[in-house]
Amino acid sequence: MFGWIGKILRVDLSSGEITTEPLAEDLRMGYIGGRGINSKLLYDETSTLTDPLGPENRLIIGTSPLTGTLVPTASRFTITAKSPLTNIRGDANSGGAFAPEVKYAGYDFIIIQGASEKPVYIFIDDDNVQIRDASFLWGKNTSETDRSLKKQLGDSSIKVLAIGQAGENLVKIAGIVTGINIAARCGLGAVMGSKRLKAIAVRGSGSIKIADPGRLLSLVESNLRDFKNAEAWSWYPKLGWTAGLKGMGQSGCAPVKNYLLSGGCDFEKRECFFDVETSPEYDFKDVACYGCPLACNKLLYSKQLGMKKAPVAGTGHMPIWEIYDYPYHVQIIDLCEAYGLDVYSVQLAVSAAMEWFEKGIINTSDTDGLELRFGNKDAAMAMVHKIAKREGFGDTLAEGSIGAGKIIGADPDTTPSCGYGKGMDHGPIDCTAMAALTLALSVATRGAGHLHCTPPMAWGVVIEVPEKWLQRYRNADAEDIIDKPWICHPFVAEIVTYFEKINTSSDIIEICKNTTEYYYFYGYEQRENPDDLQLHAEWLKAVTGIDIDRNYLENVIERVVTLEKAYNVLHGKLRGDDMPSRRFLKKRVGGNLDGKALDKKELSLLFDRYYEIHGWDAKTSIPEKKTLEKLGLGFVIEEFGREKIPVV
Amino acid sequence: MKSMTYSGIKSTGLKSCTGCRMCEMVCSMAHDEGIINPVRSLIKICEDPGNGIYTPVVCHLCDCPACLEACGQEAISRNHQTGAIIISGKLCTGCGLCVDACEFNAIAIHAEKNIAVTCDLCSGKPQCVKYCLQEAIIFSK
Repeated sequence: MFGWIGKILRVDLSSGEITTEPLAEDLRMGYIGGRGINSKLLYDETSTLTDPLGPENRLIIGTSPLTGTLVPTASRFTITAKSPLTNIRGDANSGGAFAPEVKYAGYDFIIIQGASEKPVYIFIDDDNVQIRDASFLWGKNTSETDRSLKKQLGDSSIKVLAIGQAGENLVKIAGIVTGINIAARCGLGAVMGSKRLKAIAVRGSGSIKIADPGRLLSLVESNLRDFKNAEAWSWYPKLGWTAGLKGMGQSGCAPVKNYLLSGGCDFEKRECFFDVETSPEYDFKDVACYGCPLACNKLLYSKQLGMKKAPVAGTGHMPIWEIYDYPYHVQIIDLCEAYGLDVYSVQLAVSAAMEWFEKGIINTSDTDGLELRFGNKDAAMAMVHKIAKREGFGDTLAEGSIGAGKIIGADPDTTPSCGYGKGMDHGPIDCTAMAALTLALSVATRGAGHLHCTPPMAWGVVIEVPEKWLQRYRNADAEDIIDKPWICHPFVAEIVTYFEKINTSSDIIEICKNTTEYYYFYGYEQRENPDDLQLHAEWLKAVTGIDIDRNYLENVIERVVTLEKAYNVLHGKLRGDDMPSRRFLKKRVGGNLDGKALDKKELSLLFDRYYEIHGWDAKTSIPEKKTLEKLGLGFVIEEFGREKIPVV
Repeated sequence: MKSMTYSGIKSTGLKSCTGCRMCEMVCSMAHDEGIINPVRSLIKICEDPGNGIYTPVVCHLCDCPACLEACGQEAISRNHQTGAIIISGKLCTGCGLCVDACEFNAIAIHAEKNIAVTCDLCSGKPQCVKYCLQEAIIFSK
């Protein structure tokens, strides 16, 4: 077999049984890999009765046929489980070097089930897999765990996946860490903690077979040329996605003060976060995920901070707490990664609590004496410690912002990104009066999230829309939406589903989304491989030798998204659960979108269009019978029948 | 000890290697057709991920190669055109004396073939250098 190893490793922590099983052909051909196969396994092995923190839940770690094969950035992996935060499907994705090592050790997927009585870790050393005592690791943070485990095993090259104290304490916004990367979302660290599984250590010495090495090499070469010739090459490897922060501030989607103020209205105050990479105060070292020539992760060195991971991507939104202090920000990120906490969810839970505090819904007797006001750095940092330890008020916030809001009886509007997140916040993004962003964040199948289908233009960070897209806007008579993001033109749904395909495909083949159109968007249209899905199909064909073309891949993508949707439908999540909360439907006050709001009727039509494109019933968002049949998901129709879910 | 005569694979400094391991993957594929296995790579990245330090380790083409001198089987010779260290699969017994002798850890015993292996410079066109987008390794004197 080429690309895939062809093997699933299953570890039952209740019985201690370790087994392997072949990766069935219908899984490989129907779902390809990564998030795709994970979602099918979750659908098959869990149900509405599964308690996310019970032993019956599965923790599924998925790689793809491309993982560890020289395909640039093919080192990501998806962890899937039923989420304790949302009670629907949860997935979290991470880079690093863990996934290729799993492949080299001889497995495509790892399924963890059951729960151990005592803390354990799993050591995978090629064929030799053992469940070992982890009492010496329990209570340690993620970087200490990594170090101790490597020392214990006497090999610093071993790759480790671990939870910190947050996961141990079943904090519902805990993630799972590998090196300096984290599979953060959906509270899957708590699932690992509920199984008393502290870590997985892996060492692999095996090979991956390539069907057409010559073709693979020529594709890699042309892909590397594309990277280097793109305009983004001049800034992306240097800045990573912190560069987007400025644009987010300008466009109005960078959130302020738990969305009480219009996003980006604080633009001048944000200066301290911009261009730090070129500041003489800090020294940076680029570090790459396995197989990534772009290396957007950075370690930061400064006299004040020592060596820390530099914040990347959307983690740069401390203004949601009204705090404008870069070194503080670095420390918070560091703290969250050490405890194994999802930074986004921490930001949202604490910012909601700050609003409750300022409104008098809670006071110092609830917050263990902390003046949890906006801008209070010490109180916010103290809360991070408390959340990870489930100590005092941290025990409440450890339920996530929506869970915490329910406990204290707060107006759901104060936890805005959870109102429609099916229980998960979408991270700090203000989508008020931004149609594409609102739709994209709402419909993600793991609860609100920006990594499932958000188009690059949705952030409003685009100064010039590339010609390719200008043409499409013109053809759809939708040029207006370029600088008027509040217009709910039906074409917005087309753009969102276009990028949903690219993102889902990236998750299925487990490559980084930042190598797709997101990377090239800002100015290079002369790519040798201009069509991401075409390129993804060609990677698959070169590596696996199977005749996978663009159409085939698109069909797989549609099958995966629809199956995920069906899982959530079975858990009672319908159209209403996708709708944005009140705060995002209000008129903006201040900032560059001052006075603008989404038209509710038009927004509703936009959602109709999105569901229609997928072949899901617009009224309910339930996948239609003919769609399920077309995608080979007949077993879903049967299950819908048993559960009395109306299918049209 | 290092070569003054031949062009070799050189690291361009501590800051440049990001630890992406593209070099290891492409090296393994260049030497084992149709297979990717970084353990078999003839260039190795020595990693200290906690400190973000990655050091490429590869044959230095020493002027007086310790591996060559250590070999009791006369299995090791030099290609005088490229400077590459050549190991005779016929003569090598996999005893590992060369491995102990190399102070750069740049020669190893192949797990399956049980013979010593080291960088052969891909006949003067090192694939690892070609695929290093960071230019952390270069091919020069």
